[in-house]
Amino acid sequence: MSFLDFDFTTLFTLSNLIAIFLGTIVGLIIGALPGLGATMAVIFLLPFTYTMDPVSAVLLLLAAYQAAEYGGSISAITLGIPGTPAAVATAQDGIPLARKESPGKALGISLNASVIGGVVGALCLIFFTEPFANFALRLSDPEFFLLGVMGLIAVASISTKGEMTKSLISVVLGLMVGTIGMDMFTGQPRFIMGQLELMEGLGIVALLIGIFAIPEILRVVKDDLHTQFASQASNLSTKLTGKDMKRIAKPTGVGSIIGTISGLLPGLGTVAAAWFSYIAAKKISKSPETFGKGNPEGIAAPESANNASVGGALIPLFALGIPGSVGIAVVMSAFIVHGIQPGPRIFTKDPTLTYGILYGFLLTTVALYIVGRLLTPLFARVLVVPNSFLMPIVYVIAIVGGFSATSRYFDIWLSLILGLISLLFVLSRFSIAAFVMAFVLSPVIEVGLRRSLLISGGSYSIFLTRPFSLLFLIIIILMLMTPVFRKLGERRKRNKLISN
Amino acid sequence: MKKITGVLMLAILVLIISACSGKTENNSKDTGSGEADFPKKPITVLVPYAPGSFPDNSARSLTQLAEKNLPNNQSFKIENVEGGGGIIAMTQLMNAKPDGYTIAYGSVSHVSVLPHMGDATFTHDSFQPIMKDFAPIPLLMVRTDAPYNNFDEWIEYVKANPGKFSYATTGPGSISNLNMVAVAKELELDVKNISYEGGSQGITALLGKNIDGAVVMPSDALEHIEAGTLKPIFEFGQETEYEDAKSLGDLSLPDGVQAFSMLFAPKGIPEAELGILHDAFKKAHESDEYKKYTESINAKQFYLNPEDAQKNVTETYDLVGELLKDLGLID
Repeated sequence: MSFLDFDFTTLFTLSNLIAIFLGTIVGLIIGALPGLGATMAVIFLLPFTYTMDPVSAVLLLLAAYQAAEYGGSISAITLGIPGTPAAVATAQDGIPLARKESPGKALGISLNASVIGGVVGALCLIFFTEPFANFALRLSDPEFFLLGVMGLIAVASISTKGEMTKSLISVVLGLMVGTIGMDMFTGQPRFIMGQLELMEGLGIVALLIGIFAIPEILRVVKDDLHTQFASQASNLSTKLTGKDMKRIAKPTGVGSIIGTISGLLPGLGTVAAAWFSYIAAKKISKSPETFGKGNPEGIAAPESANNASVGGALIPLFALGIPGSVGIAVVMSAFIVHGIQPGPRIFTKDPTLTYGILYGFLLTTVALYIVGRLLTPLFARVLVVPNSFLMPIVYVIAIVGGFSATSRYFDIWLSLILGLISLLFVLSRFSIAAFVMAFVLSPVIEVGLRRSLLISGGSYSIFLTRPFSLLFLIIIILMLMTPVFRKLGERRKRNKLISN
Repeated sequence: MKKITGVLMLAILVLIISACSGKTENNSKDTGSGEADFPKKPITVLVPYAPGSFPDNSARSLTQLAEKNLPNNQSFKIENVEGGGGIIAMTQLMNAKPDGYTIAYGSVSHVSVLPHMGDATFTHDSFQPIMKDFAPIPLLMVRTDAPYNNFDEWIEYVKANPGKFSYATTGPGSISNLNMVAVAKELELDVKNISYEGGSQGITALLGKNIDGAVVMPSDALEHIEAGTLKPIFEFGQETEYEDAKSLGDLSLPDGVQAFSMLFAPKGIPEAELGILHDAFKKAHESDEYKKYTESINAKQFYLNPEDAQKNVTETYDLVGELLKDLGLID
């Protein structure tokens, strides 16, 4: 049976449709709460799926996953607290656009980009599962290491002008903090200062709450508390004009492709997807100087990328039985509970069910659009609340959200301490985004390099003999050379002017 | 005020979610008999793993079935306590009141490996085992297109190419690593361990031809065996059903480190409470539903009563100690 012979009446059953919409609503709300991203949404719904039929069960979880990836941008845009590391990229332009212009517009762009990203990811999953999975297998530690290095070099392009040194300091700190925890090659704990809670590294949720939420709240409190972010309710509409849509078309396309490919690679995930596409969108934009100041393109790219990565992460699951992300691993356990083993033979063993899930997954993007249009304006209203009411509530939500991710009091203290430290960094204009990116890439780079050298027996030739590794190496060299070439070009032009 | 209703709803939802995490449904059931002394309130089960993870699913399946056998209509409440590779949860158990209301769903690594590493304040006999549950038997997987077709040819290949065969495990001191090290030592093989975050990462690297083998649990391997891309060449149990593979038994080697899961109570729990818990779990363990579950995750059931379970823990603890010394991980 091929994907065209699928009997669609088996998909459009009442229970499937209810599952998709329910999953979308729950996913959207859980995703919107700082600290509880997509993985938590899926874990929260998992126990309910045990008694459902397999297609509905899996679609419920996938719908929640898809919606939570969009929901993560809601708290980033409205509250200024990126609930997931991927939403940190969205916050770069989402916060300024929401505060200066219109929160509705910022959320509308995020929603449209998320839906398009989701559709691209789903289409790639339906049509290109096998070639993509084979491509993913060709990338391994040497390539991950080089992609990580590429990401670090790209940090330069998200740092503000004139603050390059401070950005680099942020990067070094991020790389160092990323090494906290057990070294997986020797089993030895590093920099845990006797705190067993740090054995698995600094919790990403505690870290995000600490370095984004707390300084943000303190900064608002320091200013005038008797104001509100958005004064007019008319700014809350998520409707976009044709002009807006045209403007975000290109970054959304780029984000969708980068997102799908990053989703394929279990080591990279949505975080790298969001950042890579943000940086790529800035590179191809006509007005790169407005990035970070509320450029809609800077919202569209990362948001389309993190939704496209959901479909991308499902590709290795269906083709190889290997989950592409932690959230997908939880979805996989729902498959197994229902007696389905995801993997290469799922298409031949259970075609009706498999194609039901694939097409149903495409349907989750439709549900996301409908539910998003209905619920998003409610979230946007948050910014009409006076800050004197809003900030205490945000503070409580942030702390409770951080706690519920791991149920550890330790993480609350960690958030509070990190919050105070990072406030000092924010006030002295260090780049927090560069820190987070380096923190996330740190294990990718370290493990990639060390494992590559373990496999090659210490020889660096492993980076030259693999086709994709060599390609990435050349790209890195070009990235490093571009500023040099540009300077040379400018000098030549100037010399020409002088000689004329 | 209408404006902040939305925000308030959000806040309430967070509270509900955090309160609900780990909630298990209390099945309505009729017990006509009078009140027993234990349990009188829900029993907390500490699970040292992330919600939704593999061992967490097992703990939830088992407790859900065992709940039906508890007197007084009482229930189990799962509490996921992550961190420190399980040290935090097990320390919490050790310090809990031994009244039967706090127990834990632990594994071999908590009682037989961690105590050797120096970070834990407890050791192999700091707890009271309630029951041994199940254990998956690890497999050494290779690609079907490898230059060796069965175990004997593989041995020949490894002996002819010392230091060349690389295999994935989940890190030094992990169960997969200890099992492979023990066999390599007995057979005098020079092979190269490469650490991965989990079994499926090792399988990915193997499929991508980045390494030559992977020691994984059957749940990670089965799909690839059936697809014909990978095959097991050695099973770390006493027997094997795979044609090209050999087992420990075939080479008359002793048992390796079994990746068992076990239920623990704090030391000093009264006999009566221990008995009630043990009976509830044993009945669940032997139910058809649970048998089906262990089969679905490709694990084997290894029931042991509290006394034999402790013996098993102590033996494994001694064996792991020897292996870790050989590896140079401890003095």
